[in-house]
Amino acid sequence: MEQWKRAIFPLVLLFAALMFDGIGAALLREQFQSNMGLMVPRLTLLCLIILSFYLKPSHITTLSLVFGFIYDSYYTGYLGIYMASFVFVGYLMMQLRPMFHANVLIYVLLSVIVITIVEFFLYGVYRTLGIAMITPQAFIAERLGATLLLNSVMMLVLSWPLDRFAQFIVRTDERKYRQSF
Amino acid sequence: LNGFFTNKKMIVLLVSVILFVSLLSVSLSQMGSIPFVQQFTNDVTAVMGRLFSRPANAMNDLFDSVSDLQNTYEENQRLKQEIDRIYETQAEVSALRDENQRMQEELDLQASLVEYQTISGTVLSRNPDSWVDQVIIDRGTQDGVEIGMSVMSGNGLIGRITEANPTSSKVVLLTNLEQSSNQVSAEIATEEEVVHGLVAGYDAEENLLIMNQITSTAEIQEGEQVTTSGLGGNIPRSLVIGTVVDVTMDSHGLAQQVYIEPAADFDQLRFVTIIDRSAEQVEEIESGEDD
Repeated sequence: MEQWKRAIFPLVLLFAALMFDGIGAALLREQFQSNMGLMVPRLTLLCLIILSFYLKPSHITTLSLVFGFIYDSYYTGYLGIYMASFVFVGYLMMQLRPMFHANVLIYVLLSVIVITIVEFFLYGVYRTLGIAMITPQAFIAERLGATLLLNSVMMLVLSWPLDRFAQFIVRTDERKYRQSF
Repeated sequence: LNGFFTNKKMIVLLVSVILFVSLLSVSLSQMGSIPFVQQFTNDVTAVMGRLFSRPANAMNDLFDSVSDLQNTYEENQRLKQEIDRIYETQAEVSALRDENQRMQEELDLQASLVEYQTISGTVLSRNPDSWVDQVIIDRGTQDGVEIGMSVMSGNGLIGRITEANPTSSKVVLLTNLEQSSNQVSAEIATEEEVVHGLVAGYDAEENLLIMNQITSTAEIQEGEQVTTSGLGGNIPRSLVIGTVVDVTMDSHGLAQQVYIEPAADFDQLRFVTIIDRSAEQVEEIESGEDD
């Protein structure tokens, strides 16, 4: 039962997050295109950050590879870009997690750092490929700020339920990186 | 040097960077015809996407219908006026169609630029990062969708199919026109003549499409309608793109540049119509041979 729970539930959570990213972008496009710029929902990354506090490193690497591939294949069609960034996020979280006790503040701060790195990486790759045409200044002004704001708010609201869900997934004796929430 | 190569992390990093670059270059070189694994992933994801997008759409419909009720009266008044005008145009259209058909018979024309069939579909999701602004729809090769077909939403052209899986496909929107493969050949029917040009740009701030390569002598008025010209491959003639809002000279001062307000709302894509031009042509040629 425990084994089964640990294998299935992270898949379901990440898949739902991936779907909500796309549906949110399709249905709430008008709202996301705010005065501050274009907001990009990054629910998949937020779930990956929280899960990486609870799952084994090899499990996180596999999950980030698989979901990076789905993300690339389903949304953009250019393979490898999200795979690389998701795997990097998984690795970064593995390096960072002994240093932090998971709580709301840490989750929000980590999401800001991770999303900034990922957005810059994506912009760099797409700019090199000639797909993103805007200048770095325009990118920071029109995209990064709004994206960070949206995702910080999402993390603030969702970190508690997602954290409880992650606790439910792993067994009690494995919760070594978590302290009081 | 030995120490460098025994460093395990370094080797893993190097191998992953090489894998990343080669995977990216492989997928870049074969846009359109994608391998089976990717088609399978996309279709399975799209099937799951339907499970998620249906309730989301239903919720959205509910909100829409409430706001619809609020301005029903004004809309009703406006529509009544419009219907009167439509009766006039319809009479004119049927007379013209009749005349057109007789002229075509006279000239023995078989394939027309205007004829096409449609496939309707629903938007499942949209690329969240919108660097490549594209939507995923729930129709695929099994429904007759092919790469390169143009796609309409509401009243206007929104883009073209770039990837067709068995039960889902991707539509690249006109909002990333910078990539040269997305340009659309268009025409403006002014009172004196038909002006040809290329819709090849998008002003994201003003939400306007930019049409260029228009001869500087053409006189274009604001409010005139821009349609596809049917000269560029798969796109049939007379699909509405939008209306002219501003006419300027381009940066070299040699040709005119027209700003177009798109007829489709790129922020609210829910249902799409795929324009299938190939099937109609084949049928016509076959029936022509029977005669």
